Amino acid sequence: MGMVDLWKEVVEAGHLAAGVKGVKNVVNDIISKEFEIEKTDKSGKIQEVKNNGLIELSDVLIIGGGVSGCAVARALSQYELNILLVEKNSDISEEATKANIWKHTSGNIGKTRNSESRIEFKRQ
Amino acid sequence: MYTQLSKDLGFELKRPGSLVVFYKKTEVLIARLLKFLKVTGLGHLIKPLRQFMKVPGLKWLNETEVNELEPNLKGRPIGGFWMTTMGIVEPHEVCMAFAENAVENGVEIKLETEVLDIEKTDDEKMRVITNHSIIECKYLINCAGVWADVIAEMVDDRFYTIHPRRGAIAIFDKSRKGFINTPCGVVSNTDRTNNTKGGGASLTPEGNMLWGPTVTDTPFKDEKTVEPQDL
Ligand SMILES: Cc1cc2nc3c(=O)[nH]c(=O)nc-3n(C[C@H](O)[C@H](O)[C@H](O)COP(=O)(O)OP(=O)(O)OC[C@H]3O[C@@H](n4cnc5c(N)ncnc54)[C@H](O)[C@@H]3O)c2cc1C
Repeated sequence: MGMVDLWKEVVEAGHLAAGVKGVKNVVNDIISKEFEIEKTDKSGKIQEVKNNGLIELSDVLIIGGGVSGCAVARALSQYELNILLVEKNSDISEEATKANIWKHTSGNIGKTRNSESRIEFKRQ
Repeated sequence: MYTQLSKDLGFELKRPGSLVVFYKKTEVLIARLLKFLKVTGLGHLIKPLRQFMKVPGLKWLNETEVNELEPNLKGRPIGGFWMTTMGIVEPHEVCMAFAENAVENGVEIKLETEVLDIEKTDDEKMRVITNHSIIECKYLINCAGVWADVIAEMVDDRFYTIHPRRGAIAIFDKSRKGFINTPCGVVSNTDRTNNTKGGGASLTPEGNMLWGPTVTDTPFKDEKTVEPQDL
């Protein structure tokens, strides 16, 4: 824990901590003067949802609709389980998975899947 | 696995292989040692090499063979190592295919639903608080990408933090199609202060050439800036 000048020193501290053999649960709690990382306070929203009291049930909940979450969802879907996947964005594959896509360069992003087979996922 | 998946789910998979080229004699010697370990089966006895030894379709190329395969490479490589079975897909297309099939099999996907907090219940279940409701589940799977540490911390798991990096890749027009035949790179420099994560010249399944990526540490998980010097 502590404060350093540069972000790269924070990263280096993380590497050093992680590199110590046999040491587990080391989290780099160092912050840098270089950048201020704002944390949005979500406690109001959390309380509001709790007050609403709407509870849904599932056997398995998967957080994240990138390629990892969707692969896990598909693999588990062969079992008799009630599975829910939640994604914060308005579509799946919006973050790292979509950043690693090249089809927009050739001007055909809309054609990535046959539109007939495209299932509409549930929006809130 | 991916050959079958691409057939079952209908996404594009190409296997152009991947070529590592050598410019230094030491690299050629190390490659020869690896070949010896592979051919004799001794490599399987060395734990860190076991995974690598199982890769099918490895080929060691001499100077002539490398230059025949990739005549447009800079300088004159003195040898190469070709992993002929390396495949490329469009991750977005694969993700869509997985999701569609999961939904067909009964999985429910909720969009615009952000996990805000997680509480444990007395009966070993978890109550996941999202911006819309509370979801009570027996098993929780964390696939939140660079935010996975934030999710882990919600259940007091502080085993790791994720320090993101951003990078840029140059994408070439299809008019350069055929400039390279297989994704190519040099032996990676594993020094973490290096400004690349490894890579080189690569290909999309449609044949566009890619160069890169660069890599820069950033404290912001959603930063996607591209600086002129990246190119
Ligand atoms: C430019 C680039 C090139 C790459 N090249 C290669 C390559 O050649 N080969 C290779 O194997 N890999 C490559 N990768 C890496 C690969 O693309 C990623 O590792 C992979 O897509 C990560 O998938 P993911 O599902 O783990 O994460 P993501 O796709 O980021 O998905 C995580 C999801 O979780 C969601 N989420 C996060 N927090 C919450 C929350 N609180 N509530 C609800 N949802 C949340 C996010 O919105 C996101 O959709 C590359 C990546 C990039 C960016």
